[in-house]
Amino acid sequence: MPLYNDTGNQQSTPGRPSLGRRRFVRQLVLLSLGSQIPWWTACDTAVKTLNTGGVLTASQAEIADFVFDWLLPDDSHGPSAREINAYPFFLWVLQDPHYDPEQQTYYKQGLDWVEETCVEDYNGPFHTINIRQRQTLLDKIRDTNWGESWLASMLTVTIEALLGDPIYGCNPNGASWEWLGHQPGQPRPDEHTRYPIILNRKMEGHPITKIDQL
Amino acid sequence: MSPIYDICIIGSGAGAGPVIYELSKAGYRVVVLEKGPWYRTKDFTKDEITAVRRSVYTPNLKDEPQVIESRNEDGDWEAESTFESGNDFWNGSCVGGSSNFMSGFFFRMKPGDFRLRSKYGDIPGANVVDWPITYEEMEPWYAKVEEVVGISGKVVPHRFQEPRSTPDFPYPPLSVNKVAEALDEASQSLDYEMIPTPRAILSQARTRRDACYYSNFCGSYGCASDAKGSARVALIREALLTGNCTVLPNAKVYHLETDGHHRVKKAWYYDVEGKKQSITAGIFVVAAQAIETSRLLLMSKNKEFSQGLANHHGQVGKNLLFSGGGIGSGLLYRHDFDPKTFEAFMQPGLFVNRSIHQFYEYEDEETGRKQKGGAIDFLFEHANAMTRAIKQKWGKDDQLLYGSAYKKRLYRYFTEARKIKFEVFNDWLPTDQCFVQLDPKVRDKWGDPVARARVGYHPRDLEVGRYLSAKGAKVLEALGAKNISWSVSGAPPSNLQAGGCRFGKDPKKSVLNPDCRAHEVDNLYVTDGSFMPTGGSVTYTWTIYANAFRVAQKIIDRLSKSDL
Ligand SMILES: Cc1cc2nc3c(=O)[nH]c(=O)nc-3n(C[C@H](O)[C@H](O)[C@H](O)COP(=O)(O)OP(=O)(O)OC[C@H]3O[C@@H](n4cnc5c(N)ncnc54)[C@H](O)[C@@H]3O)c2cc1C
Ligand code: SF4
Repeated sequence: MPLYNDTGNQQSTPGRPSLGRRRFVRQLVLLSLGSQIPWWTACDTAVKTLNTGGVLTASQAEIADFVFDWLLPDDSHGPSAREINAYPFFLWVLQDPHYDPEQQTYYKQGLDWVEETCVEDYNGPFHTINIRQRQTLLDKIRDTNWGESWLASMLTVTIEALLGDPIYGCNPNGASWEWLGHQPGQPRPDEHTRYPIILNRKMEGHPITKIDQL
Repeated sequence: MSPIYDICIIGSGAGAGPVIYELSKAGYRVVVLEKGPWYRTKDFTKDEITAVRRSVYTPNLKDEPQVIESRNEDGDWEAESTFESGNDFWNGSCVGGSSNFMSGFFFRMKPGDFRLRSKYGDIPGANVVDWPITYEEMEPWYAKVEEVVGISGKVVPHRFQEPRSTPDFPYPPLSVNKVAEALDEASQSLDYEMIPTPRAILSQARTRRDACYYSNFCGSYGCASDAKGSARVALIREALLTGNCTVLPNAKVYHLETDGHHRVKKAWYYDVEGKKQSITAGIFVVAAQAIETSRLLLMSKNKEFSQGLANHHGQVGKNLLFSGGGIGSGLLYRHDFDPKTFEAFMQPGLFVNRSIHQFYEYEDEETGRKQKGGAIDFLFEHANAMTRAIKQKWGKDDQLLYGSAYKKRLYRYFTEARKIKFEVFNDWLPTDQCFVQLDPKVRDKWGDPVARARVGYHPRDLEVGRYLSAKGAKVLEALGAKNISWSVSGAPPSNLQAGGCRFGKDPKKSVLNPDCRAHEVDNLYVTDGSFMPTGGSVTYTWTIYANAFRVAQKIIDRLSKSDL
């Protein structure tokens, strides 16, 4: 749907990337999955220690961290996912109480679907397979409907981290802007105007009668 | 007991601003009920997360969805909540409304737009009518907007130049990118008349407002210099200075109560805590943007108005309008231009500000009949970095790109080319398939029925859109752009809304009289774009502002005669 007049807007719902609600959902291939779940949950301790922000399991965190690397690798051409703090940014997105909760669930579901696919293909959880296998797995997932739509939404989060204001903990020193020759607009957000602080205005109800209250 | 306020205005955007301004200046006690918060100029930044990705300036669609009915692939009407689809029809819910976030491409409608039916005849399937007023009656108000809101530009003679009472704009044109010159040359080579685009943006400072500093982030962003002619800055702030105006932010009106004698007596609203409150006033003005204005009238049904306020003849919500047209683009590649020219094209901030009005009317090739065309505006792709980068993630055959391939593509896109675009505006013909009603099921967070808009279009809209888009594409070709493409569809641009409460002389066929007062409710006016029976082939906001100034004067005339 077009939006005229140089809006530059994608018409996304607050906190929701442009896919809207029509997402592809993974059809479960129920092998002996039920019996396997406790096993890999129990193995969580073996997973690399990543901050899970209280919103991810250790295995979800490990998968997410890898997915960001895969989406925006360290290839000496522009910043990598790690350099732009894609994973911490993702945690911030998941913790945001104003973000669309269904979208947050969708991000996490996708991580579980990756785990499930991994178990189907490699008979073990994601943290047990090597990097080559992980890449092959994600390549394969990208070729499925659900995988492509979920990875696209993860790439959108990555892009937000790549090009967002450093005030959100991403894009340190505006390195990605510099890489792309992009000039950010001024004024940039500060501690009073950044999201979600700016939403506090929605809580003010006093009448305005004077210009000095502007 | 006399009411505390002479006038209560619902909404505070472009349609409300002139009434707030004029009535406050004339010494009347004005109260404004605005559902959104008050953002101050210092609150506005160029943060894409805030303005675009998290849509802070519009309601959360979970709390306040609308329902849009469009045709599915089988041609049947299918309703979907905007929460489900993500297609947001809110445009700016805060003091000043969407006018804070507009880009301010400003055009007057042309004399012929006021008498579309007599000039071009009936169109089967379209409810085309003449306006009950003429361009000549609107002209002084267009001129007033130039001064009060502040419009910059340059009048150049061209085939469809509207008659003016002043020789030129009060503010000189804004600075433009070198591409404007190149567009002038390209259009000359095609024998097209390229004209400068007027903007509701100050090119020079004035009292309490700085000049535009070419921030490069205009549309969808609030202005940090107050150069943009939003209702908040240009009108409401001035109204507050009079001491006669009170603005209640976070006050969502849900019902207009009548007194049993065809007059509104109270506006009921939810305050910031969700408590029900009411305001009493002598006159009520609704300017909540077209869809929500119709919704409020429909929600205000009672014994006296069983089908909704001012709706005895079932006209409220009918003949909703958007803007017809299309969008096209092409890429200006580094390797196609000399280095100096390309570097100049890449310079951020400066505007393109070029338009073509030459095809506002054209001869239909088959019938040879003159028919209504429209306008073409040229502009650069918006500077939003994330939005541009997100578009690059789909590669050939619409496959998701990622990894190094994506990075390379992104880099090339940002550094090796600049996208130039055109937007086509033509009439969205009024039809029986474009209207607002209340949704029978979906409710907002307060428990009220939400607006359900059917957004059908007339096939003629697409024909005209295609005709104009092909011209726009030719210009891009002559400019040396590559990868040129354009698309015309019947999907409505949600930010350009009008109609739903037509003005007219016949109470059976219109909601408002020529003064924009409800035929059926003596003290109720509507001053947003809802009054427009046809929309013209340009953006609406200058006309909305001008008409609201005109109606403000009608209200003042009435009040001063103690007619109320
Ligand atoms: C990104 C963008 C770019 C644009 N660019 C241009 C352009 O270049 N040129 C142009 O001509 N136009 C442009 N527009 C359109 C322009 O902003 C609108 O045409 C204009 O603001 C409409 O005026 P309005 O009064 O109808 O609505 P608004 O300005 O939206 O004001 C309506 C107000 O009513 C409030 N409201 C709604 N319901 C209630 C209720 N129940 N109770 C209390 N308050 C309520 C809303 O919160 C809002 O503040 C653009 C719009 C957008 C969003
Ligand atoms: S400074 Fe100029 S370009 Fe920036 S928002 Fe204001 S009017 Fe628009």
